[in-house]
Formats: sequence, structure tokens, C-alpha cells
Amino acid sequence: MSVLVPVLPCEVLAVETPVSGDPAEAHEAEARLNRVSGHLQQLVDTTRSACAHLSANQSLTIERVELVLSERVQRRAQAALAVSEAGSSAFRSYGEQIESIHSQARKIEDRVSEQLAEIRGCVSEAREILAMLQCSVQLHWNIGVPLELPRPDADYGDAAENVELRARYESQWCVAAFRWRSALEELQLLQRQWRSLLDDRVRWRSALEELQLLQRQWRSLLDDRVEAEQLFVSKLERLSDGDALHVSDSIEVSTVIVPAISTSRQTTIRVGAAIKPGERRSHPLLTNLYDEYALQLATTGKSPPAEAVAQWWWRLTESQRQQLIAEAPLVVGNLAGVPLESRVAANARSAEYFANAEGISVQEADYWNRVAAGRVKLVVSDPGNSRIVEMIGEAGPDTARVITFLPGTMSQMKHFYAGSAQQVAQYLVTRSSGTSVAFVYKDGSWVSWLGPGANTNYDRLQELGGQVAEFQREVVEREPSLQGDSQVAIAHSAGMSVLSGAELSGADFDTVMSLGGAFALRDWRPDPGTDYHHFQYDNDAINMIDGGRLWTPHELNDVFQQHVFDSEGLARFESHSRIAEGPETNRQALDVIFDVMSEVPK
Amino acid sequence: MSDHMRLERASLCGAADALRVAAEPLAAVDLAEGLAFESVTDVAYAAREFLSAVGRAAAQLSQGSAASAELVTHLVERGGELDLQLAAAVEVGPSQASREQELA
Repeated sequence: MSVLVPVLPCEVLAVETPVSGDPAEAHEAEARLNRVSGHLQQLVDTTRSACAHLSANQSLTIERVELVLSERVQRRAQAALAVSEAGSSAFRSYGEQIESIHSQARKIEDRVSEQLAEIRGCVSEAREILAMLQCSVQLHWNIGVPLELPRPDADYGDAAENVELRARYESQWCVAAFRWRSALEELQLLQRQWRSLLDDRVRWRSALEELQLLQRQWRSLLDDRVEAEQLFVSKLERLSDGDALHVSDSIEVSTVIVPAISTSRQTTIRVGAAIKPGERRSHPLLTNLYDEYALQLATTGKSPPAEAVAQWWWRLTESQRQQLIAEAPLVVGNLAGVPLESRVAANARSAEYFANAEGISVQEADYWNRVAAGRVKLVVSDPGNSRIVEMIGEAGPDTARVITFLPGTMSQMKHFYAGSAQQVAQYLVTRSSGTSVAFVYKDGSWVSWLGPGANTNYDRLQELGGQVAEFQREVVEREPSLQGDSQVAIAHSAGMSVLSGAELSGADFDTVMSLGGAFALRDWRPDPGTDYHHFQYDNDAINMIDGGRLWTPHELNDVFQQHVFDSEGLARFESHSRIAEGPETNRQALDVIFDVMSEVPK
Repeated sequence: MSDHMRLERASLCGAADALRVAAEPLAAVDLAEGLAFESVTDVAYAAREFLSAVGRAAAQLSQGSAASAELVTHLVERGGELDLQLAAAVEVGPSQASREQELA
């Protein structure tokens, strides 16, 4: 009988942590701004003094320099000083807030450690007593022991048997009787110990309640942290947007001293924004399509319906289609209703631009070059808006199943560039020998730990799920070569929450596979026509959110068929990532996933 | 034009030097250097943008006042005949004015 009691506070507290970032950095920024403020104050004073000196002299040069100094440098230096001081104050408050949060978090972790140690003591005591009683009652560290002492598995002594034993084995009876008496005495002793343990149970229960309270406090700290971040970011943005830091407008025009001062907005231009020709919706060949839906585009930002796009595309000549792919690839490559093959071609074209964008990594450039060369196929590609859907495999007459793969929390463009997001899909398609096609999906900002995209923001998870359902409906299911194929959805971690949102929005899959899946949204119900499977290593960190609060695939074992693998001593968080890794580290799980997937009839 | 000029050289040189000294520490301020604000992306982005903007504003002001000091020094050193040229240079910028002086 094994009872695992967590050892570390992080195993019972929420996965998210408010103890990120370094308060010292905020205070260092504050100190630096204070130094700048001091220098700016010095400049203001010096400029004022210099103006007084200059005003006593008579020359056109002096007069104009004095004007520049007093009207522009001095005034702007004062404004910059005010901003610098306000920024310093913002950094100080933020630093103090996260310092306070860190401090409270440490206290909670310490107290959690104490409570866990207390529970471990109680569990150990209970196990010893139950073992002596030959009971096989399952203990759960977080549920506790029943109020009444459990009954032993086998009775001590049977009356009829005793009579028979007495007649047949007199001497042995004495021994047996002695042993029986001793056993009864031992039993009475154990019962007293049990009653004593019941008293201890109050202590145990209070420890559990304390843990729940601490978990609530931890959650509240997370909220505080998000609030502190939002307040801090909005303060800085307001300060940055003000005129005070835009010195160049007034100094540069008259003295041409240095280039424009504040280009903070310009420096954030995204890669996609650089492709002006590629994103033209005003392309002459697009006019007919977009004119009709201009109001919809303006009010909702939604592109024309896939059906309308498909008809419009069909009416174009081949030469016109090629012209659009060449001249408006960013539009065509992401337009629902355009056939997959043309989207892939358009996205290969836009990849030529992305590969040459300034400031990208060697890995990213290499990825875009492979897309441009046709070695990687994208059916959605707009890195400026974090949009990417990679198609692995060839869609054709031999295709028997379509896999939609949703990655886990914090999946970003860089994980596609590195190939890590595609590992599972790549393996399954390769082993399928041309009978599977996979779409590795991340259309826009994905699920994160914090902020508006947090994996606790159910509305956002549902919104992402709606997009997945739309992708299934308007891209996958419209593709003639994929119609009638088995639909398999695989989701890692928080991708499972998104996937449940997709099912809620009408997406229909033959098989759903959760790889260390987090939880299903509250309104989700299993589709009777869908087979559900859950795969994980035995110590997956995601199980920390079990406990009945959320609908975790691990606990929904009457819905999800469980496939649990030996973690072989790997840490819990590594096990959580490992289940979505490639064959080098995850071969056994991948083979079972493949077998389950292969059982799906076409 | 020289007749109209009255330049108190010591006073002007002192003012110009003071401007240079005050401008110097603001010349190249990289406020975000070494600060990662790790793992909090939104904060890191906003903080770095803000610190960079302050740094750029400081550098701009520094160059503005240093350039003004340079013009005053030019005038003091080269005499009144440059007054008109330098006054015009204030309008178009000291860098260009310097280049014109070099060409002259």
C-alpha cells in the first residue's frame, strides 16, 4: 500500500507562480532613472544659468542659441525630468509590489512545507496501524482516514473451526488460543491507538484546511501579480505616449541635431508589417471579393466567408491565381476558401520576404527558407500576428486520417522554427507511410501562463476553441482530398482545454487524444461518437490540478481511456513536456498513440 | 555686424563649458542594459521600451545642449565675422554648420 505525499510546496500549489521576475531589477531601473533625473535636473539648472549669461551678450548667434536653450532644451529637459521621475516612481512601486508578493509567497511555501510534513507524519502513523490490522484500505493523503476504524480483511478465528481444532489438536489449540488471546489484546491495543489517532485526525484535518486556505491565498497572490503588471505596463505606456519624450519634434526641426528621438512605436514593427505588397487587400484582383464584404471587414475584421472565397477563386483564371499568389501572398495564403495547395504556394512566396527580414535568428531564417523552398508547408502564415499552421504530409487519395495537433501553454512561433511543436505530428505522419496528414495549429497568440491569454481565462480558451472549430470547418473539411477521412485531434496540456472549446463550438472528431491534457471547459460534454484517450507519464505535473475542481482528462477516466507510462525517475514537469516530445525521449508513448490512432477506421 | 556685437568671452566660455559638463552624463544612457525582467514578457517589453525612450530623450537633449555650447565656443573663438553664418547655422543645425566651417 503506497501513499505518496507531496514533498515540495510547488506540488500542491497552483502551477502558475507569482514568484517570477526579480524585484531587484525594478529597483535597479528605478535607481538608473533617478540618476538620469539628477542629470536632467542639472541640465535644466545649467541651461537656465547659461541663458542668463548669454542674455548679456549681443549677437544673432547668441540670441538664437539662447532661444533654443530656453525654449526647447530647457523646457523639454524639464518635461523629460518629470517623466523620468514618474517612471522611477512606477518602477519603485512595481518593485515593492513584487517584493511583497515574493515575501508572502515564501511564507506560504514555508507553511505549506510544515503542513505537508505534518500530513506525512499522520499518513505514516495510519499506515502502520492498518498494516497491523491486515486492512487493505486505500489511503489518500489529501482525503484523510475515515472516522470509524476499518474492518480487517479476514476475521480472527472461526468458532466451528475452533471446535474442530480443539478436538484434533489439543496442544496446538493452546498455542492457538494463546495467539488468539494475544491477537485480541493486540487488537484492543490497536483500537486504543486508533482512537488516539482519531484525535490526531483533527490535527490532520486542520492541516488540510490550512492547505486549502494557503492555496486560495496563493491564487490571490497570482491575481495581485497580474494586477500589478497591468497597472505598471499601463503607467509606462501612458508615460511613453506623452509628448515629453518626443523631444525631436521641437529640437530637431530647428537645429537638426540628431534623428527623431522616440521611435519606440516604430521599432516594434512586426515582421509581417514589412511585406506591404503581400498584404494588399487593394490588389485589383481582390477588389471584387473585398468590395462586397468591405462593411463586414471594417466592422468585424472578418474575411469574406469561405464559400464566397471558394466561388470567387474558382472563377479566376489560372494566370490570375498565380498573379495573386505572387503579388498578394499574405492575403491568399491565409484566406479560408482558397484551396490548401494554393495557400501553401502563397505562404512559400511570403516566406521569401520573412527569410530576409532584419533582426531574425538564424533558426528562423532557416525555417522560412525551408518554407520558401517547399520543404515545409504552411496553410496559415502570418508571423506578424503570431499565426502559423504547418501541414505535415501530403493530402491525396491515399490519405486516411487527418490529425489536428494543438500544442501546450506558451507555445510560440520559435517552437515551430525549432521544430519542437511538430514532433508528435511529425512522428505519426512519418510512421503512417502517406496515409496521414497533420495540421499543427497555432493561429494567433496561444495560451500563456499570465495575462489575457492565461490558461485560466476560460473565455479566451473558448475563443481559441472557436477558431479551431472554424479551421476544421472552413479549411480541413472543405478540402476535397481530405473529405471523408478520419478526424483525429491531439492536444498537449492547455491545448486540451482549447480542444474542448473546439468541440463545444461544433468541431467533430472521431478520436480525441489528450497528451498530459490540462482540463476540459466546464460546459464541455463528451461526444458519444468520439473515442477519448489520455496519455501521460505517471508523475505528470499536470495531475497537480486534479482534485475534482476541474474536469481533468486524468480524472475523467470513465470518458478518457488512460494510458500511463513509467516516468523512469524524470521530474514531474519534465514528464509533462516529455509526453509531447519526439521518439528520442518519448518512443513508447508515441508508439501507443500511433496504435490507438491506427485503430480508427476510415 | 561686428559693431553690434558685445561678447563677454569669459562669461560665455563658462556657460558653454557648463553646458558640456551637464550634457555629458546624458550622452549615452542605456538604461535597459542588463535588465531582463525575465519571464514576464509584457512587463519586460513595456519596461525596456520606456527605459529606451527615456535614454533616447536624454541623449537628444545632451546633444542639443552640447551643440549649442559648440556654437557659442565657435563664436567666441572665431570672432564676430561668423555671427551671421552661425546664426543661420542654428536654424539648420550645428553639424552642418561645422561642415560648412570646415569647408570654408
